[in-house]
Amino acid sequence: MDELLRNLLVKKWRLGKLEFSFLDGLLAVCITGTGIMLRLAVMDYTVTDSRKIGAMVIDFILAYFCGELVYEYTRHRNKAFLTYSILVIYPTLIANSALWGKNSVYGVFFFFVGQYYFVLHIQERGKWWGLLAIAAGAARMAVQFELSDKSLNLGWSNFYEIIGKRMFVELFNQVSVLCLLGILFTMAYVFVKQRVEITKDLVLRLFLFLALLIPYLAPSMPAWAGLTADIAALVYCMRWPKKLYVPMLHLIVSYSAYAYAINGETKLPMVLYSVVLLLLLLDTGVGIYKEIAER
Amino acid sequence: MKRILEKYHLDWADVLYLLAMTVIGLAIRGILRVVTTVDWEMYWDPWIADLREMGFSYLATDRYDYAPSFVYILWVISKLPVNPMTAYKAIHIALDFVAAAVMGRLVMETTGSKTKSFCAYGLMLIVPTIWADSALWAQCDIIFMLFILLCFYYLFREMPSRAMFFYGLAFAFKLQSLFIFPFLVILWVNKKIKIQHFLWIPGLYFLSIIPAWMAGRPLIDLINIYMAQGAQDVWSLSIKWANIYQIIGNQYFLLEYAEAGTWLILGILMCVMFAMAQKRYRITKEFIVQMALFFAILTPYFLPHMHERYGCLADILAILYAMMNWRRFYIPVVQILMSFTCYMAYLSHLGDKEPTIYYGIWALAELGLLVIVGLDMWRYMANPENQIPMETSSDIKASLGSAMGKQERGRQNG
Repeated sequence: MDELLRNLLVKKWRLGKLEFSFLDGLLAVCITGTGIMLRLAVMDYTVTDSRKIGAMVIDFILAYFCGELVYEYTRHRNKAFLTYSILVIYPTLIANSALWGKNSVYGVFFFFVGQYYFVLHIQERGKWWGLLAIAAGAARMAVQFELSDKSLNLGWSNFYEIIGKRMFVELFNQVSVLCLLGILFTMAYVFVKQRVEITKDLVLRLFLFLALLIPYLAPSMPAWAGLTADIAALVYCMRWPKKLYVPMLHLIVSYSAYAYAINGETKLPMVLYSVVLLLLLLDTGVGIYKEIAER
Repeated sequence: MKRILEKYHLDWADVLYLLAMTVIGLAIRGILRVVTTVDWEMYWDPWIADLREMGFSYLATDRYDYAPSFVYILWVISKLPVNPMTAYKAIHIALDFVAAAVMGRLVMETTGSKTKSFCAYGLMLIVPTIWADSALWAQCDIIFMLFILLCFYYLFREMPSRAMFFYGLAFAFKLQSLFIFPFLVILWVNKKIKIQHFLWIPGLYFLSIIPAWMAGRPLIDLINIYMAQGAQDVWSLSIKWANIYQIIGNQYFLLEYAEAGTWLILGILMCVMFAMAQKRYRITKEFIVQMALFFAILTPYFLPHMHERYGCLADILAILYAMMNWRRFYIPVVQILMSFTCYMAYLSHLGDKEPTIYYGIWALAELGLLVIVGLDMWRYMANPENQIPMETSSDIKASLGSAMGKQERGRQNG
């Protein structure tokens, strides 16, 4: 009987093209169940409406897409499973939808689906659909965006946490966007002039870099502005496991920003997180530079 | 259009990028031009009002403590039929663009890369300490920084007299140009500058004060104007600049440390110059920038009474250094972030309060940068390939002696 059960754990089954073991199935069912229970445990904190339920469902679909994305990068089933499993119980994802009802995942979902299609069809015309999806995600975010005239950030520990966030708010709201545009133009210019080939790996690095950079400099960034980078950092770490510290640190920063916004305090000063984010930004930038230089 | 592009070896990406960054640079400054700061209200505005009322005879008074060269600009502004703040900021904003163009040329000279050169131009226009200084704060540091950049340009082109002419102009506008003076001495030791080129510094300064002298201000006053300026803001050992006094305490021993700090930095500079003058080095463009950046960080790190803006020279040199050496990309990031934090501490009226990252921590970060640049310099100097054998007078005598001996022996053998 023991042997039968032991063999059952590793026995492979086929479902169409998909091959999986009992253990895979068990994990998928159990972790999905855990994800649901985790959400149920915290969802009474805010009103539950159809949008919130929709966001919670999308959390799971997003986790699935990210698993696919990791498989596309690594061709490693376990890493793909692990990505799905981690994302289903990812603290910021749960807090954003189930606990806080901010439902940012609607926009974030488009980013990752876009990235997935872009990577999947990187040599074909189909990649432009991916970019279109990313643009749709950005438009979704822009609709939700509210510009503050009181503070340069609304809970996200970014550049303004360091230089001060209460002075010249209306002016810096505009200037910071222009500076950000300047940096993005400079990056695009260098890429065009150096004729940098956009590979799958470079897409991932750039995706994370932009997910870190934009909320770092953009004005009025709310506490959940790091959600895209939270998830991107996990995919990044799955592709380059030595970068384990990136999702770890980012998740700590991100969740602390949630805690600060919800509870009004954090155990460590917010400015420390701004420095951590700057270091992560520089680290990712160096990764892009090295990747281009090595070719 | 195609012909123009071909003539200047440009393509559409270059043109679009330069255009986009110029528009962004202008837009940033256009947005900030409306800010009126305390400095404007307390100094430039009343000075311009007095100049408008008294004309050139205002220069005879002791109501201004800036270099007369700068007051001449204010005099010109007072004559213009436009809002003085708009005119003032427009002049300095225009100089921002000229400085960015010179920075682009410098990067072209040092790296030979057009892409890097255009990026340097573009980045210079969005560096916060540059736009905040001129467009927001209505300060005038861009004038002397532009002349310093031109000094570098001519040094790189091996035209030392012109380089020193522009350094002299920088000095005629701002005392802070002296922060990097020791590197010129090292260049002189290494035969890149002649002693007579240094005459541009007092010469141009003297020329610049003549109109004010003729207007009636005593010559001794004008010669000592920088000394008088330095004796004003002495209420703290560091006026919001992250240096050594933010670590040891900037509110104690105000008189004692003010004097001791000046002697200390003089001693440190002497030691550094002594060490650097022991040998002759191959003077590369990177080494020139390295030295200048080192002194631009070192001097205000120990000098007392340093203001928030006194890192601006190090800011632009750090950009140049990073453009030449990508591995040091983080130096301008940290330097400019620290510098801008200090700007904002003043502009946000923080007063005695600390910024979110304490000055002391920034001071440690600045010390880290100083050590990194210092080590880069030391590594360069320690490399035998960069050392040139030195000919002392005894060496010359000896070599002459041996040459004569050979001739003598040749004659005897012959």
